[in-house]
Amino acid sequence: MGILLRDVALTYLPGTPMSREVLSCIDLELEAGEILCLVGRTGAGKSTLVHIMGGLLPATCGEMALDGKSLDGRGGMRALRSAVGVLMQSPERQLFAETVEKDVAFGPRNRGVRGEDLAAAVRGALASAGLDPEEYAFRPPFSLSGGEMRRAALAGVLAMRPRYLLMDEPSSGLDLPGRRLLYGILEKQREQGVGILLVTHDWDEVELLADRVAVLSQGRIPLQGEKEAVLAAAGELEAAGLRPPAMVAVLAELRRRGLVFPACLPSPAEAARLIDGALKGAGR
Amino acid sequence: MRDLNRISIGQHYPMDSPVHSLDARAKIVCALALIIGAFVADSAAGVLLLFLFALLVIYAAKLPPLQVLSALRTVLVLLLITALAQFLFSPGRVLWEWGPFTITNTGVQNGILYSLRLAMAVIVMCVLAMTTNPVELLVGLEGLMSPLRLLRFPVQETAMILTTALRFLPAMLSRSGEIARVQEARGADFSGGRLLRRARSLLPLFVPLFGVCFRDAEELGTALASRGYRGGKGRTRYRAARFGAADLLALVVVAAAIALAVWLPV
Repeated sequence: MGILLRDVALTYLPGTPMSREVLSCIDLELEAGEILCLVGRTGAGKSTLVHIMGGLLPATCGEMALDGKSLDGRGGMRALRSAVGVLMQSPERQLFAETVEKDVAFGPRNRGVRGEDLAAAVRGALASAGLDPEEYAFRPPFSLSGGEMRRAALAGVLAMRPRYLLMDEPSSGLDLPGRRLLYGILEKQREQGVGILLVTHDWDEVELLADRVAVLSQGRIPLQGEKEAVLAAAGELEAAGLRPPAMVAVLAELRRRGLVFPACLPSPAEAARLIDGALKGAGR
Repeated sequence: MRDLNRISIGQHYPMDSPVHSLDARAKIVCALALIIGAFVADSAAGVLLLFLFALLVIYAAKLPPLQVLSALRTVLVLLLITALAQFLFSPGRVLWEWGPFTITNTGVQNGILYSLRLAMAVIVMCVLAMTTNPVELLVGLEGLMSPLRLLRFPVQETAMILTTALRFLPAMLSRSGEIARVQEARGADFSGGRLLRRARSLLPLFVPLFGVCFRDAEELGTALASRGYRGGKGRTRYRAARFGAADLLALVVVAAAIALAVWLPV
């Protein structure tokens, strides 16, 4: 179960002087019930990859499959769109209706959901996105704060009950409480079996949420795998123009000084415990 | 959904060619002169000569000919109506008659002539747009309009507004594409339906897009004011356009082609 990409590539305006290869040789799989973090420098092609995985942009070549079924042509793209929810950068820009309720209902209504089912889907999505339906449903979306607008946009995506969620830097511009709220929503979605692709620049987010990590650099994926393995690959991360997370850098420096430490640890608390133990062992 | 494999009609097509390297003012004057010349020339041979000249310019500019000629699709209906009107309603020696409809020798000649003139105007404007960066094009227009300053016409401000709008166009297109894709992901359909239904279906695209445009315009205005922008008086250009020998040669060649086309007998 998952979205599978094999040797996918995308070239803008091929055969013209403006031709530009944006993605090439992309092999990637997003599995159900996992959070896959996609990291990379600005302009690496992350948003374009999200568009392709969401069925919003056709790849120039390569193969794609959804839950084991090969995706071909328009039918394949439609199948992908119906299974995937996409939340773009600055998703609040997608709001357009007079009330939050109408905006959230837009997607399910387009899929033919009506009546009480529609009302239930809207209420459920608003609650999942951390917005009290009683308080927010009838407010104009443009009267909300930035964080609330983003959650309203997320509710619009969740209302379509996607099996996979593709989120392009959803936490950028959010304050700490807003981020915590968002992380809670993502963890709940993962528990419910939704596969999540999370595009991010934030290593704390990766350490906190990711099951697996893929690194995108100049349109290719030079590194992907389990979170701990990717975070520990300092050389490859630097080659991709990324600075390894601070905790990984500290552990590498400690190892360089002859102390026995793993390359990566699951949390700062675990790192502090090990460093504290090492200091006590050294009699300091 | 946007087709990434095709360039848009009239989109700037950067190449290293003698036409691309000409000053924008020279290209604008040449283009307008060719179009006016085609309408002034009376003979079919003259118009055909200018049409062939335009095709030669496409070759010299190293532009893909099919892409340029595909611009004619946009005016195909107009071309057909023009040709048909001339075919059916011009006086002259009758070649074919069917009920109230007659086709005359003058009608055939005028039909071909007017269609060629119209096609030529489209091709010339397309070549101008494809060989000239939009900003250079506006700088060229500003240069040509500069005498209007004597009449207190705000030439620089107008050019600044148009240049800024043009520079923002790719960003707006990109944003509209992104918003459209997001709404499509939510099941929006922008493609079909009757006029009213189609207009309503575009609301999820236009409401957010206008919001973004107004926000960007406000931010840009504030940024310009904070960096001391006070209108056009005394402003200079980072890259000054230069009118060189090649531009003069282009004007002479175009003038010669037009003179020959006008001189050719009917």
